Amino acid sequence: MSRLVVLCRRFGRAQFAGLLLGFTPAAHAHRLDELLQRSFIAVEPARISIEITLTPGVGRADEFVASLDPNHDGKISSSEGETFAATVGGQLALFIDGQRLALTVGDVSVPDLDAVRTGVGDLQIQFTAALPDSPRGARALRFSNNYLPAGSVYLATAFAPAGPNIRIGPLRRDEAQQSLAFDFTIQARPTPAPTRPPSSAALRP
Amino acid sequence: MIPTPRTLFTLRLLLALGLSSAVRLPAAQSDAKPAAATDRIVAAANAFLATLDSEARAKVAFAGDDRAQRTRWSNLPTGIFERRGLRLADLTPPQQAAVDALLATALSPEGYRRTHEIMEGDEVLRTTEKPGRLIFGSSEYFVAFVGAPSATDPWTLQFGGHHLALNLTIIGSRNTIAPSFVGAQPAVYTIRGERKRPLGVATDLSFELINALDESQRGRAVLGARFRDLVLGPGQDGRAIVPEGVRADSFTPAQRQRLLDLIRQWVGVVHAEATDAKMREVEASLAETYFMWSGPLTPGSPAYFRIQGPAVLIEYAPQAMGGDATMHLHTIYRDPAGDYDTRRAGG
Repeated sequence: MSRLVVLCRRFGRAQFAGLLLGFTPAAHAHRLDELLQRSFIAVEPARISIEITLTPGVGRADEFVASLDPNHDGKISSSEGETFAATVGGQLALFIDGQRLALTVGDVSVPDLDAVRTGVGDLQIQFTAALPDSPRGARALRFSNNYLPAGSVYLATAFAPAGPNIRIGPLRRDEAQQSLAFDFTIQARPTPAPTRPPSSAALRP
Repeated sequence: MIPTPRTLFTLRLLLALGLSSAVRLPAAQSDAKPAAATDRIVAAANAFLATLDSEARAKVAFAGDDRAQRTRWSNLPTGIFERRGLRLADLTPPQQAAVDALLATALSPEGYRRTHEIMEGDEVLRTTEKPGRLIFGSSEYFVAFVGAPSATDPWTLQFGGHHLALNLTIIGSRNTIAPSFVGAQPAVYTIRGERKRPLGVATDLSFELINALDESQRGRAVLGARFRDLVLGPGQDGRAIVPEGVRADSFTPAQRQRLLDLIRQWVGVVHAEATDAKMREVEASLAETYFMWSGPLTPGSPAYFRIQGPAVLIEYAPQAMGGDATMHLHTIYRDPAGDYDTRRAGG
């Protein structure tokens, strides 16, 4: 008899719990009362792109849905999505060489509200900022995210450059990953916009 | 070596006795041609398909270009993530046995054992978590084929459920298990008097490696930021991030071997021939591979690590969600050169 059959049959019996010894119940199976905020930053030849993905836990769902759907009609209109994105964007800060850049909201991908209520809804927002010209070779980028810091879990990183003429130095973060900073260089040769990120093989922070 | 029914029985007996639970993945050992493994897996897949009626066969089979199905995998349990394919609970014992034989053929003995231990762990959850929308249990795992099993044309075997997503893509003699998610909750449990740690060896090896680094290396490897989740987990296909940590070109031979042993814990989930082929790629680019750590260095602590190079990306992230983070582990294995072997499959 196969192990799968044994497993399925054995665990079909109610006395399974009696087979367990010394087991301490684990943590929750899923993030409940936290908001996961993932930030990916891409350095492109003429602009910086920021992708933010927000995934609220079940315990944060009502608060999140209320922000997303202020008229409570159960649907997220494009204007509601844009308003929400602007709210998030207002809590982000992007500096290049000490100069704060204006962020433009791009695509907003809104999850199904039922998915949000079960803690698996990902809301993704794209922001871009034009990269000011500079005679300097090395540029300094600093990013911070102050959207709902209470109860949030942050992850912040940089996409691998799309071509060999862009180089990104070591990433620096605060402990909570609300802020991310790094230096980068862009050689004069233009690089076409990426269709798929390349292998990290050629990179060296 | 082609496993005979007797060797498989012996293997299962050893597994049942728990003798393999502390065994590390075997070193490269096979000189069999990779095509032989593909033939065996195709035969096992077709043997399973032969147990199904036409309705079930339609449920388990997806077109080779069905991108949505290829990427439809998750660490999440039934109830909040909808998998497609055939659920073990809906199969007859002979059909379950055929799935099991397929897994035993496609995976290494260690990968097969770990798969079962993860499923056992989910059964533990079923008995300890409050009933609700989340559905746990060893029968809440799904099997599917993207593309028809073939010795020559591309196809993918999917097997997964809560804390498990195996995507074995086969293109002729080439087999890859990337991307795959392997997790554990509870990460330690005792069943029938036997203590189980599905990711125990990997966890122990990671602490051995970080503590084997010298001060300078460790200074580069350890980051101050906290990583409380996977960066490139489910849903993050096709992405490449800036590598961080210490490069293995500064490692001593002994440190490199520890790194290889750790990598093999993920690469080696698949059968020996595919493992050996992939480990050769990993070794060839090991000097360009980074090891990064976040968290305490004391063995048994909740610590995140990442291994990233041209041939491999591995993340290990304890999950602090209202309890002991060391009891709830998420890990991901990806191929930066192309998950699902897309460099050969054409996208």
